[in-house]
Amino acid sequence: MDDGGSSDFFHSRGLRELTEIDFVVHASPTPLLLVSSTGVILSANARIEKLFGYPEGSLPGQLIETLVPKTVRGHHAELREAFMELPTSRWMGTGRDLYGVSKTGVQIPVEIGLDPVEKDGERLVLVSVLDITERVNAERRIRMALDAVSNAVVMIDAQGDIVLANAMAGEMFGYDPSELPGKPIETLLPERYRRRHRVLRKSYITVNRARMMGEGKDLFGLRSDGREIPVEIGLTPIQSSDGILIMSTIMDLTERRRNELETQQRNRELSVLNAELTQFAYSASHDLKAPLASISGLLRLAEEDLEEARLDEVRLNLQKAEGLATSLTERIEALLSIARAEDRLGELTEVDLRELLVETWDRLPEGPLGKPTLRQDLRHQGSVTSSRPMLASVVENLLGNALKFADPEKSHCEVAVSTESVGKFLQLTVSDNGIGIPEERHGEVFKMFRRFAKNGVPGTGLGLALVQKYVHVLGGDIRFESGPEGTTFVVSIPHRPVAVS
Amino acid sequence: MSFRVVIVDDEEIDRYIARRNTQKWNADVEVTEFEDPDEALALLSDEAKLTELAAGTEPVVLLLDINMPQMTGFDLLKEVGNKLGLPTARRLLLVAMLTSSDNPRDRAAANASPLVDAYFVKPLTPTQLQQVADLHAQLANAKTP
Repeated sequence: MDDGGSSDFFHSRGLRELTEIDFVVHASPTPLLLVSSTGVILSANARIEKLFGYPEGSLPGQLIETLVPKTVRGHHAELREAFMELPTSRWMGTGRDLYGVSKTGVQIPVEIGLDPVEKDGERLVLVSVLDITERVNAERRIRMALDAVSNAVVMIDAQGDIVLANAMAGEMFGYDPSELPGKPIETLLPERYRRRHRVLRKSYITVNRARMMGEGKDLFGLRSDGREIPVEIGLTPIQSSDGILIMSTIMDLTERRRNELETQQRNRELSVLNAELTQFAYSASHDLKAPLASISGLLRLAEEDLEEARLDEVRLNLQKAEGLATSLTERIEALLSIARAEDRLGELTEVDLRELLVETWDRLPEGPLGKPTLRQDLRHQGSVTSSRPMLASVVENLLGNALKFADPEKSHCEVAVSTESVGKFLQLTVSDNGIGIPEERHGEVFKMFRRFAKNGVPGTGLGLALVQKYVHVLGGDIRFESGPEGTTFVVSIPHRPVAVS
Repeated sequence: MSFRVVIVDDEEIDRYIARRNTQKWNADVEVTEFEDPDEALALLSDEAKLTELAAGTEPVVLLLDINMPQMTGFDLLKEVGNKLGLPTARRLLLVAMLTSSDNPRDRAAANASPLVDAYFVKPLTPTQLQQVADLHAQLANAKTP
């Protein structure tokens, strides 16, 4: 062999001399193959045969496709031929995961270097194979760890392109995690923040220390479906061989925000409720104390009158005190009824409405215009199953009010009751030609301790509050219309009980 | 020195108690009662009628209930203030709220009202009446130079 000639050949063609190559194949610590332009393995070192599990010396003579996974084998020859048309030294399949396949069919992750050489005018390829199993396993472990993290992890490079995104990042932003690498990080930001973000991230690279993004500000991410999500983002710069990378840990705050809002809402409701309860306690104590104050005033006068032997006056005042005590007892009972309405639903029975109306009407005391005949127009169909005591109380209060609040300016008092069936509901209407409820007080009609009448008729201020409570417990509704010509209440309750929550 | 009293309260018994106590305390005191605050307003917002009622004993003592079905005592006072003007109302009236409410909201409303001079919880006592009399004397002296 002419050494000088070989050297000239080497230098003039940019190719290595074959003898040298042959030597290199066998001496190289790297697994190497020498392959012909038609894909036949010409030479293979011991390391590569060991890597792919072939007995020493058994690879030469076989097609290179023997070592190529089946999925690629079909079109590998085509790729190989294309390479031979314009051979250059390079890495094979840059950016793709390459595998070799062992004699036993095991896929081995590899990186492959291609170097064209020439022997006797024939173009050959020197193939160096790097076993990257360890690296791939290490990457896989890191990947698994990243995917197991409950926060989204997204890594970007100095250009702001995503280089890594874990499974949670995919889920949070609505992408397949493999779609994300290569996209600019701004893809995950609402449009209005993108321009600013590009500037901010460039400054961040120069700051180069771990911190939370936009502390104190509300941050938002943009999902692939266009929905924005509130997020919290931690940033960590990483110096790598590829330059600076920025690792961001992203936490979805949607749930937390919702909980915060719910908590705030509940707190507001509670404080309203508390305020109402306080006011209720004052109203209740006022309305319960008022008769007691009157009673003690009367008793004090009675004492004085006794000393002065004005017995008639004493008797009168004691009667008044007794009346007050009685009405106070009624008031307390009404209040307890309202408080315990839910517990009092009790037994549900079939109620004969006609009988209930007549019986109630007969018991009611006369009003200022006496007691007319109750006009009835009962057209409901089928039976009514309900709580008789509650229904009786509703009817008694409504009919009683119609009598009590008769209008003395009118010649006579009229009270009418009618019923009809509307779907599954019984509608009971009680109307009168009484004094009516002033329009500006309509909002307070069903509130406790409210009285509207100008005619001095005594009342607990609880009757309609109790009626409404009972109607609600019975699963129904009550409304009214009122004006100077009179008042109409319409009660609507189910013919049969419905499940009461 | 005597004075005139106007009682506005929807409860008949409470008016009776207030009237009896007032007259027992000073038999010369003339008492006018109103069950309906609207009717009371017709008198209280009329300077000539009030002056006539006072008959030189200004201010007229108003014992005013708070919780009444038609309007609250405070609503009534507001109307009186609007119709008479505050200086006239203050000159002609000494207002004592007489109520069974010790609701802080009512006390606060009484404090905030430029027309309320006293806040009494029922039933009316001789001590409270003495307070009214003292207050009346002060006001009457201040107004007669």
